[in-house]
Amino acid sequence: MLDGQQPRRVVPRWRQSWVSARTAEAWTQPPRAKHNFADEVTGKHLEFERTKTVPVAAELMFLATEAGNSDIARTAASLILEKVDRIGSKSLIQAAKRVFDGSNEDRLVAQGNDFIREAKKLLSIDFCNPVLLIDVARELTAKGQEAAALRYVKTAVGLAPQSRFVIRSATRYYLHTGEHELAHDLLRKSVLLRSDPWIQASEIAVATVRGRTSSIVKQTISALNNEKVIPANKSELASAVGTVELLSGSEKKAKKLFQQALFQPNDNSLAQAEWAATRLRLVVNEAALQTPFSFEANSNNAYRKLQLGDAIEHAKYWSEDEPFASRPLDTLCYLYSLEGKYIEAREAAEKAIKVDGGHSFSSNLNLLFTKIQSGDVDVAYTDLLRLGKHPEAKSHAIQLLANAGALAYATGDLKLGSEFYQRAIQAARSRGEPHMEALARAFYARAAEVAGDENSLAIVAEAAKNVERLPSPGAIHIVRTLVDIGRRNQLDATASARVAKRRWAWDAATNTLRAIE
Amino acid sequence: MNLQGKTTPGGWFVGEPVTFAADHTGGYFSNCFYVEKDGKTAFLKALDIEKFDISQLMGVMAGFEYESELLKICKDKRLSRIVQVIESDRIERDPNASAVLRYVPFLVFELAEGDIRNSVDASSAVSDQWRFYVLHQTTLALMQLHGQAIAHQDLKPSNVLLFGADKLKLGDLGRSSLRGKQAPHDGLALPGARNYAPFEQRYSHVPADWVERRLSSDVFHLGCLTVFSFTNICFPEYVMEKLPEPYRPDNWGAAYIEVMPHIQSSLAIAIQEISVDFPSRFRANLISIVLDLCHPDPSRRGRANTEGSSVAGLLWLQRYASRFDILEKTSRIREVGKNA
Repeated sequence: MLDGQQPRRVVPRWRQSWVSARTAEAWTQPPRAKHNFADEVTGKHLEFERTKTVPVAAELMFLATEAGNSDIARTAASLILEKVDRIGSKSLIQAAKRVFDGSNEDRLVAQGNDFIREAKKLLSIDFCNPVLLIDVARELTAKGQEAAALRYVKTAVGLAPQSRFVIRSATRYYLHTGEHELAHDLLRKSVLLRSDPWIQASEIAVATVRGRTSSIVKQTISALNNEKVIPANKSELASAVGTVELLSGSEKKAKKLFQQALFQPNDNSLAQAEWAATRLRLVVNEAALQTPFSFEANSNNAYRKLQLGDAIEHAKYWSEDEPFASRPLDTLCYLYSLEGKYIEAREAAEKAIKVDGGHSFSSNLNLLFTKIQSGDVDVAYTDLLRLGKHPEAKSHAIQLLANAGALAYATGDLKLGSEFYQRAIQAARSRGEPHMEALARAFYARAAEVAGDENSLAIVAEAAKNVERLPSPGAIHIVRTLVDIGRRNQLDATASARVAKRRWAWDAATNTLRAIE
Repeated sequence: MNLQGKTTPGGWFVGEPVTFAADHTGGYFSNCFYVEKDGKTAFLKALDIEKFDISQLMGVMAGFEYESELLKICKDKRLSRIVQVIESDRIERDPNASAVLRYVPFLVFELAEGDIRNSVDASSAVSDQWRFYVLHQTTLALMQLHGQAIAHQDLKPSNVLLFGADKLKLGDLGRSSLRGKQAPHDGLALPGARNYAPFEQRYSHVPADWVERRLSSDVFHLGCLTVFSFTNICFPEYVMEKLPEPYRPDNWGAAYIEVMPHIQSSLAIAIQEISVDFPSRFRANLISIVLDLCHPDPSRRGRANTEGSSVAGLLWLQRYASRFDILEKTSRIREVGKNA
């Protein structure tokens, strides 16, 4: 059985540098003073009028382009293009073509091995290129070559300890490899910690990963309370602090911080708010879901609305966005399993184990479940025994018991199957995990129905009755396919009511969402 | 401002206005004329005070005065690779004007054939030997200036002047700065031409150390000249085009050191692209030269492979003078061998 509600922290995203440059994380407060060089353009233009040679045209073209004077830039570019047959410099011709056509710099980015090959060519020109080193490290990590990536990460951090992009990426790398303390040290010792809200957000999040409370939480809450509107660059910080409050049980404070984070969210703060939405009865508006790169949030939002097709599509994008991470693949596996698409679920589980190096117990449990459901019961039996002896088995007892139930049903041992599932439900109740209880009941009902259990009607009825009060959209999704139309409508209404609704006003000028109470 | 028909205190007769001088003489602030004396022709640059209102005038005149002082140092120290000033004085502009505006300061220079831009035109056949010769001569000229603790700050192709067939000299000290003597333009974010301005100046980053702040920009300009000689590309602008929007100077509001890694990344992409235009046998050399001379970090610029050695400061260009010299000789020898 799968777990669709793993704890989430606002750990930094790790994207390629050119993708990261398209997010709020890359932007800073623009400088007040801007250089004005209109006189220089005029002077150079006069010179060009007198001396129509390629060198002067080139100087004018670059200068006017920089000044944003496209007409003059095009005039200069056209002279260069007139002499294209005589010009040996290909890069000058390309630059002139770009200016003349008014096209932007196109950056064709190779993927996977091709990217690494191309990047290594660039690194052979200059190895001291921290941004590119991080990009290569990301690709290597996505291919499961974390050890090889380490050298690149270390060098990049050594070269650019004051780069937000480098520090946050390296942090994510160390989190991925389980070196939580190193990740935390990197942030704590960064000179940017004092002033950079993105680094502060990461530090607070990583501290919670380590089961600690960051020393800057208190002052951050105080500073955020003094701000009327949280700007985009502090959205992640507000959601990181909100998570700390949520985990410590201060739901009211957490809700306030998440609401602040949603003023001008980024994809990470939005995903965090989505994750906390059910528990805090937070409203995440449609407009906020348009935030660029918010694949995770959209997947979770669609899941909560029982729009499983959309949830899967967004999870696929999320997985492409974070190819080194098992979490989106675990989510995909979960969503496919809810849909009963076990071949696809198994593929996702196998990929999750590959990128994670097989370390994640949850991913292994997911794979076990998909093996059972896709009929690979002999292998599944061996895996179940192996996982049962694992040191982490005790903390995943509910899933193991449910998997044992699923396996017994798959092998035709209905009585044993029922017994294991009931033990799983009992374990979830005694541990106070209503989400797991709901899923255990739902998968139990589905397994009983598929296996032709003579008690299946009662099991389904019991599940339908219970999932209404339990907080799992996934469980409702499963059970609604097993019941009659009347009951199904009732379950749909329950799921819909949980996705709270509120009217919002969108202030485009400040990019701010305001709730109309 | 018309000075035609007048004669300087040194006896130079002012003739036709010079039309080509707009770029390579700091001509936005000046008017230029051909002058003659004893059958010799020279070039006069006079401050065009009519272009400025009275509030700006004192600053501009101080700048002109500063340039005259630097030129005098160059003349006294016999810096043969810097354009020589022949006369520096004031000339009566308008006898009817007020006392302040009656005279304008002027400088008479030896007359150049032109600048090197035509000789490295990408649309004509240019030998590698000539390109390296230009770079070698320019490096030597910079070394002469740096030896007197003068930073040029506006080295660009149009300021490398051609005398006769192959004599090269560096002109226009209008933006130069002498160590220990405050220049009127020292406070400007971009002392030189925008096209070739070092990255840090675009971000208004001003290093505290004079060498990094001033000499380092000359080193950067030499790197730009290297690229221009082979491609006619204005390298800093080319790199800036590769930079994602948030990291560009008009958008970046944080410290320069934080954006430097992104510039470095774009720099590598730019060099990889333009290196196809470098002659294959010198490609590796030219790539490493440009990377080093145009390094975004002014404290590391021009200092590749010098960690722990004393090769730095005023003498750092010596290595590049030798390097360009060797490359020039190499290109010459191979061409002879090829023809033979």
